[in-house]
Amino acid sequence: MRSRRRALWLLLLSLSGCLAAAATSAEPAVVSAHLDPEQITIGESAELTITMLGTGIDNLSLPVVSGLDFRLIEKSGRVERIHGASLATTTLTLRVTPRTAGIFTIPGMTRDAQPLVLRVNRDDTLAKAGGSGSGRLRSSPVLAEQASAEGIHLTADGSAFLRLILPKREVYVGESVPVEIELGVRPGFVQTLNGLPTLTSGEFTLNNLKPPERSERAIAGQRFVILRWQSVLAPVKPGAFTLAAEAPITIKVRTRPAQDTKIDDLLGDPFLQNIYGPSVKKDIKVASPPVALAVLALPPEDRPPDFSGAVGSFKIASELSATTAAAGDPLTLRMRVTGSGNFDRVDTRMLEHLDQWKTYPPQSTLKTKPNGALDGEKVFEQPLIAARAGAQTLPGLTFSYFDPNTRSYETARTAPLTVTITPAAADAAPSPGADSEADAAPPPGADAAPKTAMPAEPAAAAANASQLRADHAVIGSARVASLRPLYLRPAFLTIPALLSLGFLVAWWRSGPREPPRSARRSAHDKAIAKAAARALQRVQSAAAVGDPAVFFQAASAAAREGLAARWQMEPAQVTAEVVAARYAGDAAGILHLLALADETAYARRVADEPDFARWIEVVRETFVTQEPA
Amino acid sequence: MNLRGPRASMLVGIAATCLLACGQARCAGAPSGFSAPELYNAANGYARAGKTGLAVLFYERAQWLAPGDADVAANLHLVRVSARLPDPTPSAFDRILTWTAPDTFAWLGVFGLISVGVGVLTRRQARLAGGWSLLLIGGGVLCVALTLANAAVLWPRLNDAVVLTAAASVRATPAPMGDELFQIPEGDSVRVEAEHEDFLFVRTPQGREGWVARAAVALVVPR
Repeated sequence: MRSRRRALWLLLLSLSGCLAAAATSAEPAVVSAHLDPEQITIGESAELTITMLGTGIDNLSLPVVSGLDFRLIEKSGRVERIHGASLATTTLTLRVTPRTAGIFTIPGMTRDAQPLVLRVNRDDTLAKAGGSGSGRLRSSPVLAEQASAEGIHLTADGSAFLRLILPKREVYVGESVPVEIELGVRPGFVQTLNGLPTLTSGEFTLNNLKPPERSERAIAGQRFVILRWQSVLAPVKPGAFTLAAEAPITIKVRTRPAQDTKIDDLLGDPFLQNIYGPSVKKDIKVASPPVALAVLALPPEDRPPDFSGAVGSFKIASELSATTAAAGDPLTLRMRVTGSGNFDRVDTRMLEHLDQWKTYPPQSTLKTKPNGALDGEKVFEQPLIAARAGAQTLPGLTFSYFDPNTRSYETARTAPLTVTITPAAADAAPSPGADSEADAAPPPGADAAPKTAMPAEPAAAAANASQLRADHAVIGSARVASLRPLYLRPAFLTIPALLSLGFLVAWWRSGPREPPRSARRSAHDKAIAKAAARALQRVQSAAAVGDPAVFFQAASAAAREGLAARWQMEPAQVTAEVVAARYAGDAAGILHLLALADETAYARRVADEPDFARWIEVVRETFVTQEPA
Repeated sequence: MNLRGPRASMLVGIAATCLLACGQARCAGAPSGFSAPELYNAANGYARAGKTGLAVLFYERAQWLAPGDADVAANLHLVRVSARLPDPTPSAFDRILTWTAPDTFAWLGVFGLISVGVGVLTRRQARLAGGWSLLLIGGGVLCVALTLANAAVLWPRLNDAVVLTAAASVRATPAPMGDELFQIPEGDSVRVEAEHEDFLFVRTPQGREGWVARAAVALVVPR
């Protein structure tokens, strides 16, 4: 029984020993770990070498540090015999690439290992002009030397170059100088071209760059992609200048050790260069070596008055759109300026003032060769309108320019041009003294076909001529001075104006018209008749009542109304005295009526059986009786 | 003569009118003037010569002076049809208001004005019966109205022009190098709406507009 327990304890101890051995073998024993170098610049990388005992390093995990990239680049192992015992060691080589500048602590690979410190500095050299690469990634001396021998100055990292090619070193102000800008980039090293090349000097203007020509070229055994722009630059002021060009590009900065760069240069293959190892992108400007250029001023002496600033070598020619034209029809005078030079300054006013012609400002069209060369043609077109008919000669045209080859001003001339101007179509019916002959009448006596410049009778017109109605007799026909209507001529308008004035004066001086006596009498009689009718109606109504007082009051009032209407006075003014005076004793009836009316009004005396019919007749007579003398 | 009376004022006005009318008649009889038969004969000559533009122009001018002349109208129609030009037909209203020459309408208006004036004065002074004065006023107003209507109808036609060149280029701008919009055939009529130096802004009967060289057209009624 005791032996069994002892065997069980031995088994447990052996198992625990095996487990402990297994646990020990899971964490390899690190002999050493070091960084080389411990201080680098951004864009560079350091190597972390880890040496461990044994071969079981598969479980080793790479360190994780923010801002650092770790990449296994090499793994090697070897077996050493120490004191008769074999000892296997494994060496790992890691590339440590910083993403930012700073001080990074790499923890130990095991618990007992000491942490490592990597110092990463900022890269001040990359920002320098000239496109130098990282301090560590230098161009191969072999490549740089061979390129320099071909007149090419590579960037510091050998990834690109820029050349400014000028045909001459002495130019005049305003002169157009052809220029070539050549950019060479190594594929794989240069990623993008971020803009067009520009000049570094402000004293020159550079024409717009067109898409470049692309080619490939081997420089010092390395393949370069060549981009070539052709353009024209022009100096704007005199002086001695240095001129350079620059182009913005993005390069890929290799972060491999310097010894690897040499191998890359020897391989020259981007695939092999980038097959392993990280890289960073950098925006740089690749600049061309400066070129000295002397800009001369145009000589002020002997400068032609029509010099417009054209510098180059030019020829001119002129032509007319037609050799015959009608007066008033526009003609086009063309002047062609061909040659080589600054066509943007080629200008001319052509014919500004010309007798018997109306001139317009010319318009120009520039035709240049597509490759940006200086050769081209500028065509000026000037509309002209002849004012008079006849054979006319246009004077020759001139164009002045400065020829940099002869270093003097030159004047090109054209021969005079002749043109035949026929009378305008509207001038076919001439009339003396008329400004525009189309606006004049045909000549007197044109009862037949006009004798003016008519063309020969066309056949088609002759066919219709037979259908035309015959001409009219002219003798004795009325003539007018103008086709403009009389009522639109100021001289004629004075007639209605004077008439109106005369009538107004006559209207003002003549008084208002008096109505005729008969008309006045008629109106008066009508008024009296109406009044009589109304008065008699009232009297008859009173008689119908049979009351003498009422009757005589109504009859008296009616008689007064009738007499007042006749005498044109108020009824109250008609009294017995007035009646007696007007009638001169021939008014006994009326006076008696008025007296009876007063009696009935004041004495209240009622007449015995008054004769209403008689008194009604008396009232009627007051309206119809003739005016007393 | 008692010049203070209204009768004298009216007599002075009528006398002045007669003097001016005589002056106008003398001017109209100037040998350098226009005559409808001469214009018509000249137009016939141009038509026989194949000058459609000038023929239409002179027929139009002859018709301006003699609107009722059947020969002018017939030959103008014939020329237009032969040249395949549009031949507008005037409305009845226009025919009534242009049945005679504009100058005749002008004198008709003067006559109407005199008639109205005399009628009004006689009514004011009661020298004529009411019916006669009313007749004078009514007739005068009618004559003046006819004259005004004739002027209103002819006023736009004062800017009518005829194309004289074979194919007048109508341009977008008043410049010889302006973009050409379209062309107008010779003999076609246009209406001038504006002027700029050597160019006229014209509108065709179809409503198209543009600038045409002044030398390519001629106004029917010269200015």
